[in-house]
Amino acid sequence: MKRFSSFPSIATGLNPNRRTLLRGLGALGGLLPFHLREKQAQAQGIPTRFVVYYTYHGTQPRSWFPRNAAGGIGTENDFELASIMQPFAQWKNDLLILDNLNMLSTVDDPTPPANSHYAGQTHSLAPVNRASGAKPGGISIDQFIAQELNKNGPVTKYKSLDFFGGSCETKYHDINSVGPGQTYTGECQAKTAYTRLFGSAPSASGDGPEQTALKFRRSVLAGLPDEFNAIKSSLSAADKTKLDAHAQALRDLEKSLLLPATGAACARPGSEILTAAGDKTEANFEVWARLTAAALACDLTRVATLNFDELPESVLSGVGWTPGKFGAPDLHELAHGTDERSGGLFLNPEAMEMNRQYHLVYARAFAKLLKALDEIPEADGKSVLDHTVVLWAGEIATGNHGLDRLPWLLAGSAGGYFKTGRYIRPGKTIAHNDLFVSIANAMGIPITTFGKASVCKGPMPGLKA
Amino acid sequence: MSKTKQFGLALVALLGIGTAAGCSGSAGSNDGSVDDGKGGSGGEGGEGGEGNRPSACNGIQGGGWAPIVRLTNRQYRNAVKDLFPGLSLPEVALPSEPVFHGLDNDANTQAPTPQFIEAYEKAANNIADAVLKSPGQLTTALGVNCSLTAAPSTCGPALVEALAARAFRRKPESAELSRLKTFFATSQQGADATTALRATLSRVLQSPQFLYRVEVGEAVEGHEDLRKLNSKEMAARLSLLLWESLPDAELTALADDGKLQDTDTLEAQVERLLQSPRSSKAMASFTQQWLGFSRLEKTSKDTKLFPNFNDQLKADLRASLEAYVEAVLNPKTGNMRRLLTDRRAFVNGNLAPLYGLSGITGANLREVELDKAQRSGLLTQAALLAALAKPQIDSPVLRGIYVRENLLCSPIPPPVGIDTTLPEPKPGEAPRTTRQLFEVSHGRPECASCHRYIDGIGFGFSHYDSLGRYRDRENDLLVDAGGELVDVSADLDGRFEGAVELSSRVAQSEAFAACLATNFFRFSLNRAETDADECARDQLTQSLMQSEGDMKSMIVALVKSDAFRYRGTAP
Repeated sequence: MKRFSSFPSIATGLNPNRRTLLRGLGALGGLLPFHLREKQAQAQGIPTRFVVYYTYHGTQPRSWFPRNAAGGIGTENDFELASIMQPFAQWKNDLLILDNLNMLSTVDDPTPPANSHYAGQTHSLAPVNRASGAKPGGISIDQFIAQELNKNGPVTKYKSLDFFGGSCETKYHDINSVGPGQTYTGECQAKTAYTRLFGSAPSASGDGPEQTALKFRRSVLAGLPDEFNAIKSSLSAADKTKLDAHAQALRDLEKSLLLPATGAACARPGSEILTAAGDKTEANFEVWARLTAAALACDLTRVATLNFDELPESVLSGVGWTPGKFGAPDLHELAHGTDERSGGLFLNPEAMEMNRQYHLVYARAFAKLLKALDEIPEADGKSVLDHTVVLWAGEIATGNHGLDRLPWLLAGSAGGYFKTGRYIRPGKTIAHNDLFVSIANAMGIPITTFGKASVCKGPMPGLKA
Repeated sequence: MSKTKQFGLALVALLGIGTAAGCSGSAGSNDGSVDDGKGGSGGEGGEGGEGNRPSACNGIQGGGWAPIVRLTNRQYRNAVKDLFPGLSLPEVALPSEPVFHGLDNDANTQAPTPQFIEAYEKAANNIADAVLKSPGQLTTALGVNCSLTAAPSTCGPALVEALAARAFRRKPESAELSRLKTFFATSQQGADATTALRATLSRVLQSPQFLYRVEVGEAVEGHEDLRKLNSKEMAARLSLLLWESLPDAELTALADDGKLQDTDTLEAQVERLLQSPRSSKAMASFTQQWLGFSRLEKTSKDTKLFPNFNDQLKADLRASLEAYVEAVLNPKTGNMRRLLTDRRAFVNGNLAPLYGLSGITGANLREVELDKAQRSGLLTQAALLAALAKPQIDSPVLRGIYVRENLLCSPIPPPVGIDTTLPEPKPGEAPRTTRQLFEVSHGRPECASCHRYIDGIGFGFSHYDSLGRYRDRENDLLVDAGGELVDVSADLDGRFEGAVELSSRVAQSEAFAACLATNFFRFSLNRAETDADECARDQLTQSLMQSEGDMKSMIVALVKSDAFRYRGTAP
């Protein structure tokens, strides 16, 4: 977490040395009880945000879960970050590292998954029985939160932003859903996303050509629900539901046209952020990280997903990976082979290291995301990261499709709601539904269950400040 | 009880009893998004494999339910071009559609996400903008005799009316017209007529009457939960299926006369629509999805082993396979059996070496006849073989799964918690064939329980390497292409020698016909089948069996079926 002494209105260009200095100065608002801090943030109009960071193939548990200095299992406050977390070690105090999380909702799902990855993927963000082998059976937590936040009309220009952080050529899995079986695909073109978010931002006031264009768009959109209402009467209830959702989306779009990019932390990034140097895949990560951070800072949305999905084979060529090495035709098979419980390559240190390198790529990307969020100051002197909760999630726990001990973590305290800087290892296994209940609560949505209610026990214990 | 049913029950029974946990399943096709070379993918489930078949298929069959259907992206783009013939139109950017059962048009998955709503708005405004740049051409395109420049206030509404009639696939009702005219008039206040018209055109293009197949239908006596589609709704269904666009003038005229509830008229119209190249394109949308062409884009090869593999070769492979499928499965003369037995290929200079052909140069594809002993149809086309392979070696697993899933609709769910890496040859160990590698790996009991259903088929492809080239030897060892079909159906099970024999056996089988029928059923009706659809699907299968695989017979049977002419009103 970063502390900013003044209330700068420009996000970029801060001197890193100055930031480091400020870090040591301690918290401005940190001494206030949470409800007061929350009030303070509300008064300053600083929203709380939720970001899903999603990666593939689980992790290598022994290089992920924290240990203490003596090499034993880490405890809540006495733990050291394992090697995969080293790229974002500087944010240790912003993390809630989670353990004993389990996709319990999958256990009695009667619909068999299309493959073992879909076993977890279908439940990962929508923990309820599948709609089909490859489709989740309900709304995903991110979309649920987005809908709740905007249920009385749009509060942000976009309900959510859903990015595919690799490149359009690589594999993509739809992880977000708006209802049973209803997945959709995130944006893979950074340039398209940039143009959509920051390409033009006419102010609603005034009477120039931009305002005329805006007025034109709004007038067309405003009339369209009448057409939906008119045809609805002769259709079945189920048809009406689908059409109502469309009409509502039109109303929301019309209203959202009036919502400007705003917030003290808002600074429209220049298009130069689209060009980053270095390796194609990892450079892409940085672009997506900065786009996401800027969109959150400008309150264009409060919910975002960065799906980094499976990484292409080329991503490890720099560390000596070639398909077929260790008898693994591709990185997916390498992940299988290096599984600590059942992999045939577990005793091969070189193969284990190669697999660790795979997960380090994700970790470096995560560090870029945290950096981008933490670099942008908010009006209260804290950073966008402090007013956000980032969930690092994925479709499985380990290379061989384990669904227990999910290698998930939270970063950012959601405006002080969570007490970060800890390793939370509940004595009993916890359904990941409960984590989602906690996150929804942190976002101001008072639910007690999410998804499959039979596995829910309420918010995940021990997370709150 | 038909053979299809028998095999379904046999499969369920055998898999349920005789295999490891996770190795049971219902019939179904793959979800296009499912396979990512993970060495296993299964069906979506949801098929009524075990449902009790009605003893007789009497009454209305297959009037199942799907929510109101939105135009697919292809239909939208084609429709817009047909609305404004001759006019220069902007590119329409639309979000990609969710894939279900390998198909991109399932009504249940079509959520009106903000991304789609934004995209429709942008497209409508851009299109309205573009067509108003040439008012003279616009009036011609819409067949209205008026001048927008001379009499905007009267010409504008006339154009809107003409557009709505085409876009809505029926004459707009008076209430609809009055809403549009009121909107035009309101928009004219404080703006010029062109701006008002632009707004109204945009409104039409974003209206549900255009974007959705609004199907109210007519009451059916004795069936409260069913509606019979009216003639105009049938016209739209027919043209959106066979042309992926709006009805043309003849279809519209028949619809206006109420003639399209008559099955003979429908059949005649199918014949007519299939004469147009548009139907070939539309049917390719279906066949390419059914056959999983999206996996071709994901083909990658280790360029150390295959230095000639590059993006150009990949594109040529795809074009070659598209040309092949068009030649054997087009809706006019296509035949399901020929898909697997035709000896032709479409080859250019780049591709010729893959087939061991010489003397072919240049970039253009040309039709060649392949060696009958080595090649037979789709399964031996280099493009598919290369897609169903690992970057370095061929994959009996991917090939076996493909045959089971895409062609026979009997997938095997993947293993859970089992190491799937292949054994590495130890230093000094004698070279092995790919087959031997897999035989060792999958010989373990926990693997064999499932893999005998897959590898038995896949080993039949041992003659084809990772690029789809034919070989008699691998690593100096003779190739063994003996294979076995296990627990597919009584008419298919048993040993076979090589992919050529496999192809001819699958081509004749009822299981293959049933699988095509099921996929076409899903595509045509924008929904997955249910138990109640069993008779309807069986009729479709029989249309293929009785016509010896004729695609047109299947299309006619589908269009004339109750499933296509009726619609359920509730889930």
